[in-house]
Amino acid sequence: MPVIPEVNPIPLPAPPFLLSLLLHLTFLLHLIPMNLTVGGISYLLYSEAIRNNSPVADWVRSYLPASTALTITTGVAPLLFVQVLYGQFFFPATIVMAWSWLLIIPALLIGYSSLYYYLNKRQSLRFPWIPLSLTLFLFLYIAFLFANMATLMSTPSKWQTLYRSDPSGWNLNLTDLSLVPRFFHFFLGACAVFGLVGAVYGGLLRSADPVRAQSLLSTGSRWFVSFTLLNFLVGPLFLLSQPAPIRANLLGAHPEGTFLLVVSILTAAAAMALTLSYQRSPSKNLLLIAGSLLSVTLIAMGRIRFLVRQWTIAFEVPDFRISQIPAQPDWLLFAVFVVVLMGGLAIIFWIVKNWFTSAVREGAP
Amino acid sequence: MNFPVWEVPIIGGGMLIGLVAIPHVFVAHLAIGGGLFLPLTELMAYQQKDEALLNFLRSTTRTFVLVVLVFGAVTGVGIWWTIALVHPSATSSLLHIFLFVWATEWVAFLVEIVAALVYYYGWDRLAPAVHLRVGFIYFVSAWISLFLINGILTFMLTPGRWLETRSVWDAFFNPSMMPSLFLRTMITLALAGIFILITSSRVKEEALRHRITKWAGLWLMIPAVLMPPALFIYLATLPESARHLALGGPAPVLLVLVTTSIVLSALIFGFSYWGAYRRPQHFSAPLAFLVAILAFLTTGMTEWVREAIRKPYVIYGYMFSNGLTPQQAREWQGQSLVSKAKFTLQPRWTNQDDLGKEVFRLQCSSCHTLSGYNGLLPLIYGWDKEMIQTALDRLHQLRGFMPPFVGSEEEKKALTEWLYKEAATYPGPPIDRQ
Ligand code: HEC
Ligand code: HEM
Repeated sequence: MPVIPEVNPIPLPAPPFLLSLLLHLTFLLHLIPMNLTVGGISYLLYSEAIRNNSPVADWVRSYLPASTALTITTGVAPLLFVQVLYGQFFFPATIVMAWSWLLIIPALLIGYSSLYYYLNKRQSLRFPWIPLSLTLFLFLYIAFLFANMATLMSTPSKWQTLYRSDPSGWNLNLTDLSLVPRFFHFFLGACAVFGLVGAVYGGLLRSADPVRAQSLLSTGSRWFVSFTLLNFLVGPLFLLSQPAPIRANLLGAHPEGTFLLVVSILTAAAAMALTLSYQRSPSKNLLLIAGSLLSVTLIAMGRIRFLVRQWTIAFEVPDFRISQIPAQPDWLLFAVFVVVLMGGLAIIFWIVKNWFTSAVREGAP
Repeated sequence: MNFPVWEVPIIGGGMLIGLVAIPHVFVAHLAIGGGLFLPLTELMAYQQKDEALLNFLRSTTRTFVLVVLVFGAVTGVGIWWTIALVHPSATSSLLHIFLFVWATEWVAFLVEIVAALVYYYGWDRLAPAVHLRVGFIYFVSAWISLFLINGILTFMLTPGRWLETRSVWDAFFNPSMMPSLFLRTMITLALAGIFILITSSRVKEEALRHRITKWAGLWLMIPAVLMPPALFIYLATLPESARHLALGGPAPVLLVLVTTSIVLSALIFGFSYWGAYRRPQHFSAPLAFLVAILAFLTTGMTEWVREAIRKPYVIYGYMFSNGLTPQQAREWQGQSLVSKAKFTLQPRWTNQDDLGKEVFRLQCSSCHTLSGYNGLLPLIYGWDKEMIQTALDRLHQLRGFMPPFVGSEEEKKALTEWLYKEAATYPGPPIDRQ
């Protein structure tokens, strides 16, 4: 059995299942702006490359400052929960690849600045795709490092070897078969989700602004369908790249895992079919249903991701059970958190509502 | 001894944290003070129907939000990244204690970011009353973030009753929490004043520039008057040995730093009163930058002092900088350290030098590099083996900066030999080389 750090002697501040639930929920929350950011930037780069300034590109530029800021903000919460629940795995894995992992911060800073540079200076730039490709490259670096972290933290048997080969922390988890399919699965998924969100938004805009709506609808559906089709190729590769017992679990041995996999494949396929049929009989309900189905796909895939982590860890360290980490809840503090969360969400709702109910005033720049 | 040790060459882990933390602290405090300055001044401008002032605020918001959103948020995440890599045990402990304090802070952070974006893009979109309200929401949530993070930061230096009760409430409402919160709030106001001094120096119209300069000067003067007494109250809440360090003790350099930061504050007050408040017409951009640089130096030094006086602990009284706890240090006296370590460079030790190096990595490298920042070789330059061995025997008594040596006699000897050999290859301080 590989060496793993001892559990922290200070008990968890809430039962493990609750922390695990919060990890799930906040990670899903992180996925939304992350997909819009990565998918949107990919689209922008494409539209700059073919020099086609569609309403979709304007739409993407209008939301990118917000979606990027929210990608960072919503990443903080799952980071808290993953570190507290899986600290024995997360810390060693990230220390083994310390420099590569730390480079996420300058990558974020430079990628973010270069994005603002593009947004503010686009009109006067001869090659607007240059700052944009820099941003996309750096953001994909970040996603790639997260994939490295996620795979390395569940395979403790590799830590000692990697660490001894380079204690200064320039390692990556490149020998992991599932790393590359995993990365592409997330990347393609981001482009697909971006496409469907665009299409749904277009569907909602149809009566208010038919020209923009049409552009959003056709580009959005095209992106959603093509990238989902690509993921139907990469997804199976991702599955094949898993160690045999994990694969077996998803293909029948573990009822919940198998069920979730079937559900996510079916809902994704159904969402795709609905989007395609929209082209023939446009009804915005079709798109809304497609959107809901794809949300189910994301939730199910998210849950699979956590099951796979549990299994992979248990495969190497059978003694480790999240549910057995000692906890000593402080419910009062938890209640404060819940109350503040409710209040915060209400305030955000109020702010966002005011934003959307106010129109740009005449004469404004 | 639970986690692998990450070797940060030349500057060492502690300095790396400082390099990320100091710019962040500067910007994060600015983000809060500025968040009060903008809506408050906006309110004044509406009441006085001052279009010129509104235009100034509108263009300032842009710089402000970019700095806060991009630099503030990313470096904040950056601190977390670095402490988790350099002090994994301490980070893990802080998370176990304060998880829901942090989670609550996250909610405030989320509100803060949404409000900042809408405040910025909403200048020409929202009704003035709504826009103002969003501005104040931004400020309140940003200050709540400070309130919560401040509790965690002060805990590390003054854990207070938590050491016995292990209650998160005792940990959060620790002895230095209130004085520190007050100090930090004052700093936020001062930094907002400095930021406005810089941005207003670009204003072309003279009368408007003078008015803003004067108003910004006031934001600097109030904290400059209130901070020195608050600093003394804060110092009074520190643990005896930390205060001893801060006020001179074995390292006069700290006293020099504390004094310098007080002198710098006085200078800032001077500039803001005689420069900005009394003679706004003579206040210029270079002067504003000078004040900003002084403030940055002061921030850097106070943060540095705060880190330095916490030594040898990372969480005072609970955990040493190298991740060992005082309890382990007692119980493991004389036992082999490398056998307790989960991650080492070698599976077993055939070479004594490798063993010595490993002990150094595990136990000393959280504070010392070899020849870079706080390098051991310059410190022991010219020592013979006996002196090194004696130093190891009474490490915790040397200057009050260090935890006791933990390890077997064999390991102590291996470390001594290895340090001695390394020191022999070290070129020595520049003067001795000639
Ligand atoms: C908690 C941080 C910390 C740790 C851990 C630490 N030191 Fe130090 N040490 C310091 C500081 C700070 C100084 C003072 C440096 C100065 O005066 O410039 C110091 C000074 C020294 C000195 C010079 C003392 C003197 O009187 O001149 C020696 C020798 C030394 N350390 C050895 C070690 C060894 C060996 C280890 C590991 C077993 C170690 N230290 C671990 C912080 C630490
Ligand atoms: C542009 C910036 C970012 C991108 C593109 C991005 C992308 C991703 C991707 C693709 C994953 C899934 C990784 C996998 O499972 O293979 C992920 C996970 C994660 N991200 Fe982000 N991310 C970004 C910024 C951030 C930031 C700033 C934080 C933290 C502050 C963060 C926190 C997390 C966490 C904690 C997880 C994993 C949760 C877990 O393993 O359970 N992300 N991110």
